[in-house]
Amino acid sequence: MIEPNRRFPDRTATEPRLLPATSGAVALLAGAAAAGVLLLALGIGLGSGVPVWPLAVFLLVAAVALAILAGRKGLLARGAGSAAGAAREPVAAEQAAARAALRELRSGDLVTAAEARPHLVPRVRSAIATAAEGLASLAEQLREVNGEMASSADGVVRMTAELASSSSELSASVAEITAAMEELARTASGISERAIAQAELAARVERRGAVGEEALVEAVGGVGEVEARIAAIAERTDALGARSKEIYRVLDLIAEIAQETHVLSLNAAIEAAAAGPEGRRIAVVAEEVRRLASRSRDSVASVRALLDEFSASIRGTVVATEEGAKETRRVLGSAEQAAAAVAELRAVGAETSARARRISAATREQDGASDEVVATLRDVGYVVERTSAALSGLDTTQRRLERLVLGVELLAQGLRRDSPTSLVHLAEGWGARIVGETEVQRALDDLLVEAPYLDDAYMADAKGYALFLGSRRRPVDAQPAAGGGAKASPEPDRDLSARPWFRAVVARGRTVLTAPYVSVNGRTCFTVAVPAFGPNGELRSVFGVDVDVHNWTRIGAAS
Amino acid sequence: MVPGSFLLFHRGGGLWGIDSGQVVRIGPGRSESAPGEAETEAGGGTLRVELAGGSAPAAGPVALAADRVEGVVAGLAVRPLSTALRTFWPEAGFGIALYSGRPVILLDPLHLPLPLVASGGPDA
Amino acid sequence: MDAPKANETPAGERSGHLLVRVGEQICAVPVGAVRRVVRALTVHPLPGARAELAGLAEFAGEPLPVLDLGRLIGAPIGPHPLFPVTVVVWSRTADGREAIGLAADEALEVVDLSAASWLPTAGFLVGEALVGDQVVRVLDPDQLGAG
Repeated sequence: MIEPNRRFPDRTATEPRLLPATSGAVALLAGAAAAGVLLLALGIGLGSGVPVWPLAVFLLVAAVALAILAGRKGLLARGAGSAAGAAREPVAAEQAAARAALRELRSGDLVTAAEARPHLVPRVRSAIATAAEGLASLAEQLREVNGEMASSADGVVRMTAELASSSSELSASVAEITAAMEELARTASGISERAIAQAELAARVERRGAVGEEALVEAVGGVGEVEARIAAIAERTDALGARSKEIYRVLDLIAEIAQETHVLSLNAAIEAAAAGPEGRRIAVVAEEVRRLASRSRDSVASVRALLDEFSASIRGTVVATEEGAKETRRVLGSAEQAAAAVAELRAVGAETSARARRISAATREQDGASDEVVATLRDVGYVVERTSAALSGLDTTQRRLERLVLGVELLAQGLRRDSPTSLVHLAEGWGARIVGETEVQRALDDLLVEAPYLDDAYMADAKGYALFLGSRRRPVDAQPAAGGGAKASPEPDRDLSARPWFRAVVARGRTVLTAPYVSVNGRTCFTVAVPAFGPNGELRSVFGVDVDVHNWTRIGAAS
Repeated sequence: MVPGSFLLFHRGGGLWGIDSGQVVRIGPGRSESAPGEAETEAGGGTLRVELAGGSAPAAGPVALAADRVEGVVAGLAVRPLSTALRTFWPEAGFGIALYSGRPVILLDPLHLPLPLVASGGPDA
Repeated sequence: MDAPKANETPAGERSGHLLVRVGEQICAVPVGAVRRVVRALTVHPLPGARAELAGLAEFAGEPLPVLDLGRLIGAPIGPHPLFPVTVVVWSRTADGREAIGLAADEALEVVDLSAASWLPTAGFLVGEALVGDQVVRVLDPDQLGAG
């Protein structure tokens, strides 16, 4: 904790405590020590994460102070020797003034240290002023560098965050793409399988089509044969028809002969009857002949019936063969159509087969391609993992950097400078202003508006009870009556007496700047607390502000 | 007395004969009918066989209708008409003969069958 | 040449008859009267003749009048005959005999018919007889000339 020992508003100087040492040797030793510490700090600054700048600068200040003191002692010795006795009063005043200035300087209050003091010799005054300016300038430079570091750190943070999110996005994308590629590979292999199956099917169809075509050609040939046979049958039936006509004629002839024979037999019988008894034998013969003729007639009738049947069946055959021929021709037509269809089918099958083979080849290619893609993605995945690991390392570095930045900032804040970047200076200004306000609450609220890097502002009484509270985040309850009152309010907690900064202020009687801590809402901040004293030096109130580190370091660095 | 020669002619499917001595003229008939067609309607006939006399001499000359004239034939063996023929063909005629295997009825000029008589008078 | 035969049959005796069919009727002609059975002769119709006279034919060098047996006996016309015949019969007349042809559809056979089954009728149909279960009509050709 840095505790610039300064009371407000009284500027009663107290007796400074002089460091006992011989002038030159002490100066040299201090300088060497300071230099060594400085070097050490430079060497391990970035790695340790613990700010050592405060120690180094403090030692530097101490060295300068010692140097000046030594010089002053020398001067005092010389001055004491030359103007002893007669100049004792003005020298004591001068000593007091110098001591006061150095004390201010030592305590880090560069503003008061540089103030003009009537009793200071110009040389001393200018030396102190120079020292103060040098320190202020150093502090300012520190702050600038710190600011650059902070923005770099911001940049790193941003980059890290972006990188992290990119890498996580990338990871997610890699995972997605990998999944998609695998899906694609599966689909492709599925397509390939189907294509192969289809090609096989097409090949089978082709073969079957070839078989079918052969069968059809055979069938067509067969049909042609059948047609030829039918034609042959038709010819034969025609011949048979002609023969049967001949037979009918012959039958007619035989029938006629039979009839004639019959009539002949009748005539014979008639003659026999006329012949009387001698005609008996003729009558017998006549009867035989008649029977013969009758049998002939019957035979002819039978044959004719058979022939009729035969003719009918032949006619039937002719009709049937004609029908058959028609049917055959129809079948032939169908077969030819079927042959054409099969040829088409074969062509289609061949095309399908070719297409399937192309698909198969394409999917195989795709397989290879997707394999490559998956392999590439896997490489990317490894890269992303390594990047993430590096980033997490960077994250650690980032946190150390942030801590370093904060540390340097706090070191710089340890010096009160007349600058809007000096929080102690600002806080003491606000405190002085608000104590004199009638509407403190409104002043607190206005302050929060004016300084956006402040989270809270409060005015507590000497007991640590927060009379007024201004908060950026939490709604503030109705103000209690001035002078404090033990009114029970659910929140916020108005009893600040236990706060470390309150205790430090009470103990030290000076403006206190705390180390950074994590507030209730998870933000890193520190508190500047400024005491106000009554006319008798009693603590009357404490004014405090909570500074959000993140907001302050960026805003403070920018100005 | 059987005539020696007869004029043979066809009419109505039958073959007829008349004493050629009785025939005066053969001329065209009133209607043109195809030869061979049996024309039994009275008066028709491609030809007219005009005869010298008729059953009623006072009536003037008589003609017979003929489809076709066969010719004049001599030496026919004339037989009398049989009972059955006369029973079933009441027209008169004095005989029947055969000419080239075909029966011929020989007509009596005095008793000509009406169906065979040509209608109308002789042509001018 | 044909000699005259005795046609008359004493009653009760069986004598030969030629059975011929005309239409669906069967006629019986005594064999003694039958001169010849021949295939149907060419008949030349006589214009103006009665319907029973089919026409004139030639047989054995002589003109033959042919009667339509169907019309003679009033038999309804039967199916078209395959082998029509002309039965040439002798018909005795006052001065001898003459040949008459009878146009029939079919000549069947010669059978003996018993006289007891005859029914005496007028005209040339002199009776009916039974051959098997078939009724036959018996002709007397001598009466044919009478019409």
